[in-house]
Amino acid sequence: MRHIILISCSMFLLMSFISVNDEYFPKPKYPIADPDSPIVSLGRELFHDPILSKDSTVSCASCHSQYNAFAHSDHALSHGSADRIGRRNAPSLINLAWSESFMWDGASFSLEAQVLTPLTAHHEMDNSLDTILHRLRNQTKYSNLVQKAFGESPIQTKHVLKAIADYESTLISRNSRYDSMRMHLVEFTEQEKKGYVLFKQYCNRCHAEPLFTNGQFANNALPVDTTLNDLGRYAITQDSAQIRHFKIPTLRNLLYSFPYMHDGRFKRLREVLNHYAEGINMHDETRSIKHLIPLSSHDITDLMSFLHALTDRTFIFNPAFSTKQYPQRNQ
Amino acid sequence: MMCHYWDIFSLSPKHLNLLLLIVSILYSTFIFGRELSLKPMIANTPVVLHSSIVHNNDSIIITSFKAYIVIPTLTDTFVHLLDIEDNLICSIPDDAESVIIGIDSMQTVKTNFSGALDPIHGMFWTWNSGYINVKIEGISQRSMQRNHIFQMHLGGFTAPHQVSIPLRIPRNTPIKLSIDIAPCIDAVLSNYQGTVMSPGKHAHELMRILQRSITIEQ
Repeated sequence: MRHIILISCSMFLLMSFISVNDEYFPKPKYPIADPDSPIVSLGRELFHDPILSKDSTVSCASCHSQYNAFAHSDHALSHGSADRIGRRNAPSLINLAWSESFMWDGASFSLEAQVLTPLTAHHEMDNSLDTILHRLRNQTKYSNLVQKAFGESPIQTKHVLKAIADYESTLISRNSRYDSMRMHLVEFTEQEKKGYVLFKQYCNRCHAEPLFTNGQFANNALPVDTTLNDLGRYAITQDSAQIRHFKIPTLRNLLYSFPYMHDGRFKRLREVLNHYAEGINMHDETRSIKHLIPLSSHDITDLMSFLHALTDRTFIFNPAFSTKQYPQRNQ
Repeated sequence: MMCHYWDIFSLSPKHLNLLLLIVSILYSTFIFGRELSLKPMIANTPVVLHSSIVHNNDSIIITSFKAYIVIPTLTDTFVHLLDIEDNLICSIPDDAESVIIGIDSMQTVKTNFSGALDPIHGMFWTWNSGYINVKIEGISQRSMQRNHIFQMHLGGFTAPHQVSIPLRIPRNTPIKLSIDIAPCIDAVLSNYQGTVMSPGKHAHELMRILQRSITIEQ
């Protein structure tokens, strides 16, 4: 009995310690839904159901698969309905509740509004809201889920948007080795420590801890891809200072979210770091990064060691995020 | 023992129904006691859907006209989407002193995507969040677009291109907003090849032209 009390007290002290020390994480901007709520259950089903796309071949999860940190592996550009190829690399969906704008160009002002874009974009799911609602209303499963979630039926646009947005708000990653280090549960290796020092010196301004993005837009001076000629944030704001500015992505779970950059041009992490060390397009007048980052080959290896510590396997393999009911199309 | 709700008022169901009818009439008279109507014109000619109107040695046919009307009051905000395919009339409270043509920034960010604000009405830019405040589409021989169509999807809720149109209106009287869309059509055909369909300075300019073309009739 004494042992049980001792263990219980130890666990309580440990949990108290953890709860106090995870305050390094900021408060979310969007309310995080209860993962067990009926609304999130509905959102989880919708997110994984190809019925939302015009030809019923792709779901949200096709381009945002959990085993890729809710990004799209192997495809530089997103792969949509009718085998259409999009213009941008599907970004990972991680810690979206801390974000104030969405998409690479920040076109969407809320998680709900963001849902509309892929549903209706020609090169993504290419569907109409009329068709989507008609299909969902004809399925008993969704009638029941909507009734349970919202206490009303039939399903309406606002239900679809709210349910998927709430599901996405639960996609939280904060259990990496980096997080354990921040909570004083583990100590970094010497190489990770060196990488962390370099990171704070050169990367942290844009990829700010602990979200590993400052939520802003930047032009990281990639050579222009003339086949896409993507002007990024400028297309939304028409502010010439924001030509080729894109949302700064989180670096969490980046081992799983390759390929990298808004156009998926880099397959390997080392290519990304080499770009900052020697590949910056110094002729780009709207670039946000003014100088090459002085990184030696050893520095890059140390940085990669630190970046590996942002991997959160409990996020990648969290069964609560998955339905396992819908076969995913071959990637 | 059963207890009916009309027992509370000591009224028979028949009298209670009469009372409810009177209350609803009073409510609609004093709270939603008047109409606001939109009257799109081309110069001095009222627009009729799919009918040709001669203007500037041109034949203009309007195929779509939709606009958001927002009525802010002290207690609530009412949003209507008026469509020429239905009618261009909505009820507004007697005490309303202003209307806004278009969905402003505050309404946009707090939208619940239902009712008039449901994106299913085709008045929400899914690729660039925000509502289309006014949609005008038609055919003009001056248009260089395919089949001589012209399209104006005018909106924008972020600085510096917030383009909703606030208007002061008198209380307690029906309101008719006469909008001469001819200057707007001339501008989109002359300056923008007949098409403006995204937020920005072009939409902003056209909305300002539209604003100058509104007359409030009582």
